[in-house]
Amino acid sequence: MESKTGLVQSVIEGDAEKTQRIVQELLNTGEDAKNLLDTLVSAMDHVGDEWRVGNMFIPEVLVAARAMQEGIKLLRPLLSATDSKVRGTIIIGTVQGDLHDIGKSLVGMMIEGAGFQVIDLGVDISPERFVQAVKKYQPDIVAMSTLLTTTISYMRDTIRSLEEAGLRNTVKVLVGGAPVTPEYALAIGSDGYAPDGATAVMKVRDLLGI
Amino acid sequence: MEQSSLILGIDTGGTNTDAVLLNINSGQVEQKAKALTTPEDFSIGISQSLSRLDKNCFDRIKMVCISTTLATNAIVEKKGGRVGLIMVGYDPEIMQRTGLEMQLPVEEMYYIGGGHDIKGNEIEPLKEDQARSAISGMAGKIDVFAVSGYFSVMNPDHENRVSKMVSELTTMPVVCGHELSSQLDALKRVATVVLNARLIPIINYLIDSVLGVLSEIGINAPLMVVKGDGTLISQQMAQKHPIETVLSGPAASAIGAHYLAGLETAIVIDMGGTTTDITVLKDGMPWINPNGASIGGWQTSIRAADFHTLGLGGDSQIRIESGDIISIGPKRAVPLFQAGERWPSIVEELRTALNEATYETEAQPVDYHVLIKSSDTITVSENEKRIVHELVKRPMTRKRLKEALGSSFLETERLEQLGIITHAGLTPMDVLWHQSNGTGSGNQAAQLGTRIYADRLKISSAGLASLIKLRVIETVAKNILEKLILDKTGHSLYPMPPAWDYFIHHLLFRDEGAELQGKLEMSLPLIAIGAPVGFFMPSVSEILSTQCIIPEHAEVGNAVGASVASVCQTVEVHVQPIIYGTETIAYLVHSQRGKEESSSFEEAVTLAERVAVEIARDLVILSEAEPVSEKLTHQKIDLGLLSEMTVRATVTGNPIYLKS
Repeated sequence: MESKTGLVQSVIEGDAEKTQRIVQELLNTGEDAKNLLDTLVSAMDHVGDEWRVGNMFIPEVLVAARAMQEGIKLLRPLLSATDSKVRGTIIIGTVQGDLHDIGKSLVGMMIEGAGFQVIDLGVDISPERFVQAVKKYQPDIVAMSTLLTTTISYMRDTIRSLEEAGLRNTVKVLVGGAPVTPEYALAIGSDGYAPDGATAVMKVRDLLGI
Repeated sequence: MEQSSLILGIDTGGTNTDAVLLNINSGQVEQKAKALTTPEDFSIGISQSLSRLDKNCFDRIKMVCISTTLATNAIVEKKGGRVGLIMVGYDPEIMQRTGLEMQLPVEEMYYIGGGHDIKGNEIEPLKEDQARSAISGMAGKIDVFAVSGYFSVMNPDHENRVSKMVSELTTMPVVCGHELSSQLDALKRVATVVLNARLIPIINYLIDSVLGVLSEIGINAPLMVVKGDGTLISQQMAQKHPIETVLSGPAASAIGAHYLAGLETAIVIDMGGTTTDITVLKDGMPWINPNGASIGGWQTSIRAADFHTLGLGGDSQIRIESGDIISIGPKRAVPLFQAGERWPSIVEELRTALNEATYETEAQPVDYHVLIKSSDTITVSENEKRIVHELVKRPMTRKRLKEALGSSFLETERLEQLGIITHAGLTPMDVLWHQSNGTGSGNQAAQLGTRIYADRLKISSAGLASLIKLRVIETVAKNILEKLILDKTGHSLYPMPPAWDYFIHHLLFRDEGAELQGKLEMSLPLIAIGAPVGFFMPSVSEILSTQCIIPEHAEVGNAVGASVASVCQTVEVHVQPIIYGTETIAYLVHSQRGKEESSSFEEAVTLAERVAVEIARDLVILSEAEPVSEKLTHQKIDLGLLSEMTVRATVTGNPIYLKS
């Protein structure tokens, strides 16, 4: 008989198959889907903490996130209308001129795991493409990532392009990535800064007042 | 010895049109006059106000400065010329989704291909053929062209080219977005440029009629107009950019308050007949909202004094609502002390009403319909005609009017909207006026009206007076708090839950014996201007534990502001990095003139400074002034090599007309 502790452990280990199996078993015993979702998310929070203090490395964090996502797949159809109702939509992308994918995808997965709808635009996204995406998906939050010091100014360009389009007031802007500092985030006129995925989830909740 | 020159300052506000003559040498107000504003044609009220000044000194007037609510009123009342709009590179979907496409007050609009990106590079070449067919499609159906381009503040090229085509193909005036604002937000700019275009025929009419009045009365001096930031522009510039004159009333009152009180930083309260405006004075100028002014529900990109207005003034009508609750405003009424002078029949009626207590049967104890303007110029219905016919004889309460017409149906609404009839009734000024114990028919009307209200509420006249005074004081004090908190947080204090209302009340008023005793302390002093402030503002400052200054000439503070305003132009130029390939960084300088490039940040900033000062100086010269001082401020976003900078040049000038 598997327990929730086992579920947490399977996510930390990044074992997608095991995660799915335990979720299914617990569901069979009558466990509430919402509780299981919370367990999966808390496991990922733990992974985030471990990564921050240097006990885990990015590849491990990534497989953990995949394991969590596999588990969520089984839960999604069972979550009641209110639980699964999207708490908010976030579009995420790496800015123009930057092809780094991993950090951005990880943050996207963690936000998704926390119950938000995430639309991943990919990498090398120009200010115009961010504007088009905001127009198309009408998200609550735009999250931008960059790892390069040279491309950091495209974050500013994107925010200013949203201003020109008259869309800046319709979204909150969240920025992150190695060269980004809280001071920079403030200076370019974003609404928040997150150094890692766990903080990003917290910031998303803050920005949406959840 | 030759007598020194004068400046004539005029303010046409919501209720009164004030005029002052300011001595240039001594800086003293030599004369002042007041007349009622005539909203249907401001020049009539201006003429009446000027006729109360001493004609013998008119040849000493070197310059006339006017602040007017005309532009603001026209926007709020949705009046103006016919506008043809051309949008370059705009996204129709966003225009539709925000509702702007539906709401913009234009005859016709065209979307044409073109537009730039954040670096001022062309996204799409300008579709000149589309522009040409848009121009010829609209010519003849409109009065003014408005052109707005996507990212035109980063590169005005497409707007300029369309504007040039308009001039080549038609003889009509044309305005571009980049001439009015250097701020991003294509939606704000298109609203701004459309509203500006719409105002052009209206401001032309005002300026022509004011010039007519001036020459008729014997004043041969050039006209300057106050802008929404409290500075002056020439008549010609006002005719090109009339939207810059919106909100010039509150701006002029802040400038006037600064001049008369000699304080650099304060809260300025301007209480007129209908409304009270609250403005923050900072370093001698009204505080400007960096987000742009909002007028009549439109968010624009115009730099203007940020003020909070409340529908409460000396002439606000006092009414008794159900449950014997008193309301003051927002509607204005002719105060009884004026109505009694103008229509003495009211005094006798009020006396009878008081003696026989007939006011008990009226919905409002003292509420007269009065005729203030002829209805000759408009077509009226049979019912309206009979109302006018009765009111020509004398003012009547609603009940009397129904009896006279033999009908319970009264079509008064449209006559009120057209300014032909209005209400006369009890106002705060009457209640406080009666304490002065005057004996004229105006005073009698005010005293009788006050007694009737007091009897109806079963209190004494003195009791009613202190009740009204307290209510006005509390409302103004709460709105001062609202303004300060709104500016700091962007959030309104109101509507306030009852518990907080109780709390704030106890901070403002010390109730003997209440468990809660608090005190609010405002660090800014109050400067109060406008006619009725003497009655209320000292108490307002007392409950906010601050100082209150009511300067001499406070009742015409606004017109004083117009007469002492300076010419001043502020221009912003942006510097931003651009990356070529992977390594090369250059710097772009964006101004009204266009886009220029520089290889180093320092060079780019120097260029931006030069361009900003040059443009601002040119604008000062266009405003008929000689540049005397310039100031540069910088706003940097520090990102090392990728830094950005906004350079702001402010050039101040002396009007050329004042040179000896």
